[in-house]
Amino acid sequence: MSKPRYKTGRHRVAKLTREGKAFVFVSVGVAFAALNTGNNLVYLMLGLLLSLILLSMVMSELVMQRLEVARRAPRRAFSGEPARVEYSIRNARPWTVSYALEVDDWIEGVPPGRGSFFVKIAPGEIADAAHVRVAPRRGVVALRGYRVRTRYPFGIVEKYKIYDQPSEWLIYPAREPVRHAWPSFERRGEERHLERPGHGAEPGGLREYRAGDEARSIHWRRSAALGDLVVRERELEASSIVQIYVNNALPDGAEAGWYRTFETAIARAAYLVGEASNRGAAVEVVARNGRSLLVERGVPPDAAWRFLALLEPVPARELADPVFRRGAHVIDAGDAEAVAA
Amino acid sequence: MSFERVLKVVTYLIAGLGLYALTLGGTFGVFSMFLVALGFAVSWFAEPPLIATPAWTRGWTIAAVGFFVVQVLRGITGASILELALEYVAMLQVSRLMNRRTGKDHNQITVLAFLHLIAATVLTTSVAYGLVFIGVLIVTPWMLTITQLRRELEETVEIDPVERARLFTERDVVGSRFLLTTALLTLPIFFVTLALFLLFPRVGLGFAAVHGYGGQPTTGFGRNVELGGFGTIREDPTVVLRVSGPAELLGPPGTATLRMRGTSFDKYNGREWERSESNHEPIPSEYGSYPIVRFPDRDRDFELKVVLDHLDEPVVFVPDGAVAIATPPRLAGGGEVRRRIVQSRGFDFRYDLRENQGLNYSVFVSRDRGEWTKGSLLGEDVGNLTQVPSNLGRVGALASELTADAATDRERAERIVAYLRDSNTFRYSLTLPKVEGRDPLEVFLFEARYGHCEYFSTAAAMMLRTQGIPTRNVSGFLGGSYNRYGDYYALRRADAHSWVEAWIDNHWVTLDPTPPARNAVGPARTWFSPIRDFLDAARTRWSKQVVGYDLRTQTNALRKAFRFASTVRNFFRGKSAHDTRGNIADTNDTTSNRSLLVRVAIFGFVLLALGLMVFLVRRFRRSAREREAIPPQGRAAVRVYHELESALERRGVPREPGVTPLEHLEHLEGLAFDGVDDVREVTQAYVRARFGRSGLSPADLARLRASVRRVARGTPVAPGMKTP
Repeated sequence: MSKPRYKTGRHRVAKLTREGKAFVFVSVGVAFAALNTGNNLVYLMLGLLLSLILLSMVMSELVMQRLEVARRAPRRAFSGEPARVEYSIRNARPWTVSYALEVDDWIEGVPPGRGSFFVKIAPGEIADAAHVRVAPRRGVVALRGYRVRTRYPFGIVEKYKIYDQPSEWLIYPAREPVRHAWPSFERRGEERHLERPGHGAEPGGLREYRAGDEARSIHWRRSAALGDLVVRERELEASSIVQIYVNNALPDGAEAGWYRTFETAIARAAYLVGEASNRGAAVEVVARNGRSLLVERGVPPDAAWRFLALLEPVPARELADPVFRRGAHVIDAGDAEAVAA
Repeated sequence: MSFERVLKVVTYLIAGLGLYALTLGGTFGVFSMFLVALGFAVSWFAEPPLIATPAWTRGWTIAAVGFFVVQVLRGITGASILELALEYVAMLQVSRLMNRRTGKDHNQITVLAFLHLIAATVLTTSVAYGLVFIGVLIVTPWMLTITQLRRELEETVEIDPVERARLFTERDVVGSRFLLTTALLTLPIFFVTLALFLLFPRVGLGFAAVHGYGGQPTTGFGRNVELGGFGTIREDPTVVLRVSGPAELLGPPGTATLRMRGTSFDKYNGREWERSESNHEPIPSEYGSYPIVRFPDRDRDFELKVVLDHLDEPVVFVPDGAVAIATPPRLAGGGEVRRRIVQSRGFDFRYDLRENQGLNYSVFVSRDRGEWTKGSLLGEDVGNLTQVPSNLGRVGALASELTADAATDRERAERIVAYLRDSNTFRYSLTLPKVEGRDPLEVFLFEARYGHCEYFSTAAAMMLRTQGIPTRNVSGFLGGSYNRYGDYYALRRADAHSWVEAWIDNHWVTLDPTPPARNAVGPARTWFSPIRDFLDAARTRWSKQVVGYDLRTQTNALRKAFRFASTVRNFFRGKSAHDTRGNIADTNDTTSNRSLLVRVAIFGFVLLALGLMVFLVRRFRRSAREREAIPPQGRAAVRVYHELESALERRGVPREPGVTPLEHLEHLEGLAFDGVDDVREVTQAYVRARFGRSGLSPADLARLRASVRRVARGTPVAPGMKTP
């Protein structure tokens, strides 16, 4: 979760709720009765009903005054899986309490759902609430900001206040479990080395200590001799790499079925990425037109998921065959069976 | 109280007010009322899990449908549709109260209560409705707000059920502060309601006007009255007539005794008085004035303003000396409808019974007593006015004996009245003489020698008639208690009185033979009397200013408002009492407007002063709280840090809400902010002093201030750098 950045709202929208419409309907009936009968007591009732509508509009505006809103979206959200979105609201008014506020993401063209609900925010206080959002598809969701909604005090008028804060929310693909016979990713001495730094078992050389390096990797004797901290670099073993292949070559005349299969392959790939990482492998997603960053062992595989989230089909004629690392464990996500290199 | 408990109490308040409104006007039967009250009380104890069972809900649904069928059948068999409808809507409310589970159920209860209030507008115009309405004004914000909160909580799936249950059972949400602030919403609702009420154009089309309510039953003003009819109401304090007028006529407040003449009877059959048949002649009116003797003249006449309640007899009461009546036309169907006031034999005035409501009118009383009259003998049936039942020979003999040496009719009348009133032979009493089949007048005059005003007036009338003097028995009101809250004299049913008018020297002369002891009998003033007076004043205002508010009043009010606005404008422009066209404005209006302006200004000033006081007190308390929260040694550091915040804001890197000073420092370090060392020094000193309770020496303070100044002098940060 990122640190909240508070925004103050500008645009306002008010509309009648279902109950509000019924209320207005009754008021019109009473107005007709008042005009028709000339009975002052009916006029009195009409005055009361209309004053409730007016006050509802004013009060809903007042409880939304001087609110500062901040959003914290989860860094990792998978399509089809609930993601917890948190909102913080600060009531910057000195005296009055805000009641019954609901905050939701403002996505252009998407009707508001049930967002984070705040029962009460005392003057000067910050309140936090969260709601669960399920993204329907992978990719980038363009957020225009967020909207604060209230039906306070009487539920007659629903007022939105829209907070502009354009941002993007990357939704990872859905994860579709697949059965796979995983090899063991324990260290094996005879493995080929990739001649690139990583969390493998073979020492590769020494370098200066950098923030974040593990203490156990410090070469103490050499550090003492040099008077500065140096760490051992290790090389990654090829056999601990899992390459997940997603064929994104778009054949000529592809129909909807192809796209469904493609999305299924991506969903399976996303699952395999997680599984491989959990099993201690380094993971890389390979597509026809590129590949993700190699996610090392013990590192969260977000880079691979991000790659999958943004992977688009490319016309097949422009593409070369995929190239896999020698010794790596390759899985074709479009196939139930693992493919050996 | 917990959320749930508050909601329950408020729900019962609003439902109770709605149901009570239905019972106003007396259309609701006693038995039905009892059943509704019982259902209302029992529903209080209906709680989950019982009311959450499907069988319970189904049972009530079937009961509602079944009751509807029963009501339809009763309607077919001839029961009053209005009463059946009222019973049904009341039953629906009880059904809802028995099934109040969700916020939606509570909303339905509110809607039903509103419908009850709307239905009650055709049942009553009493001030009780006004009180119910004020109650609803107070309760409605609570009810709607709490119900809405409950609905939101019910519909918010993200709230953990345990947390939701906790919110419902604790005071977190609906505390005393919530109730107080929500109750304060009553004020804007009241004022907006009032404004809308006053501003809605009163153009009643009158297609569906319903006036189902009847007037107060009264004795003595119908076609006939039985001897003894008045005594029973001498204890009844119900006000029926309110009279106000100039002190020149009525004297200082509280000193007047008013005699308001209602109707007269000319035929007596030995048991009861009767009015003989006559034509009801409409009095021709002009601009709302109905001349009895002549058209009113404000220079020659006093004006008495009268508010008459709706009685079952539409009698227009007038005092002695009345020369004209004035009442504005009624507004109906979008236009003015001239009221019909008729005069019939016996100086009897009545308005149109079809109006089915009371009457606000003015009576003009001539300053010249020479003009005082109560009609003439022309058109009267003199035979009736001198008619004496044949069995009253003994009465005639007594009268002759009393008037033996009287030379004129006036002397005869005085002797008879003096005998009855001043001789101490007769005693005023509310106890009726035991007649036992004999002639009541003879029993009164010769045996019992006690009775109430009707006995005295009947005896006098009969005795005068035996002497050949045309006489009529008059019913009206005598007395009046001053109501200081409304600045009027209230005449109650207990003030109903009977006296005599005799044709003497070509004039109708008022003769009142009832002993003054009558004044000692009547409703006593108790501790409750001032409250009763206050309520009656409120009721009168309600009747005049709310129920009687019409297009004419509206136009006048608007005219006054414009005039007031013009006065205000002139006041600020420094103009005199000249209007914009150079004419001299109405001096009275200008004076009263100026006085109103001064009052408004004083009120505004007081309001402003109070507001300022509240603001200062609150600010003082707040700063005191803040002072308490900050240790003394930290206050100087807080001040310096505030200065630093101002400097940073000017440099374009303000500390955002929700970001701690140390986080902000970290952010500035990330930006490689010019002057970050100074910021660090001040921030760390602030944190140490504010939270670590380490003090700052004057030298420390001076150093920190110098740091702040250096920060302030730096160049503003480019906008792109704000983002870490």
